[in-house]
Amino acid sequence: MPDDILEINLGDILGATEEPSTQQLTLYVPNKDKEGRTIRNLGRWIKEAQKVLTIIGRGCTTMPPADGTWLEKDTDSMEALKDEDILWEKTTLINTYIDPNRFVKNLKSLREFLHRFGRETKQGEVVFEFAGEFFRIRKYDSK
Amino acid sequence: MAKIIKNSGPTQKQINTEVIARALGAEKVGIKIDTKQGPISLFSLREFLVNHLHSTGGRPTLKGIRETRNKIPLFSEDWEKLKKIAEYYKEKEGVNVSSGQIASALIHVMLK
Repeated sequence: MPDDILEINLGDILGATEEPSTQQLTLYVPNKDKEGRTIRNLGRWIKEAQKVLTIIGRGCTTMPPADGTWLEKDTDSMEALKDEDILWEKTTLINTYIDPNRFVKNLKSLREFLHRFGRETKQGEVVFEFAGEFFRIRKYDSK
Repeated sequence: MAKIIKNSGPTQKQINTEVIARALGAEKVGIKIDTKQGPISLFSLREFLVNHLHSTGGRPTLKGIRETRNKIPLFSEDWEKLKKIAEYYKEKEGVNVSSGQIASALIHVMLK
């Protein structure tokens, strides 16, 4: 082991009662649909996302809305990009460190929520992060 | 040199991201960034690039960047990652950005 790394059992030292989770799940909840219209009942959607993540990770953290963008038009160069091609929105990020067993057990509920959110709020895509990787959903399950 | 503390205790089992993509009906974007920044990563980098890249007809440049170019030695694997990130933004996000500009943006955000 190199001299500059100090290996310690943090759980023991800090008195943690469970093994730590190392995988983070983050949901992105924008305030607009793909046409740029403000989503109705945004608070209800955010609360529902918080509930799903709370079940999966025994708690969650919601970040304040951040400025976000979504490329509306399929433009692939800065030269062709116009301001109106970009949808400017406020996005709320909700994250949790998953409990693996609870995550697997509640995958169906999470899928149901993500696809319903995409479908009912007319999202161009629904995105989330898991374990440092970025995912997108473009085709939603039907009702 | 400051010591790095590494947790040597047991951790919970890891869930495979491929399984999650299939289970949730999602597609993986295709790159992974090893970051200690937490949740924002690709999303905030894209926002930064869109806000700072501007074009006067030629290749887009980052606003506020020094005119003098600096030679910064890079590890090969890091350069490969920067190239993959730049390719991702070009192909998937429509942001015409170079590997060097990605490096500039990441350094700028990390040193803020």
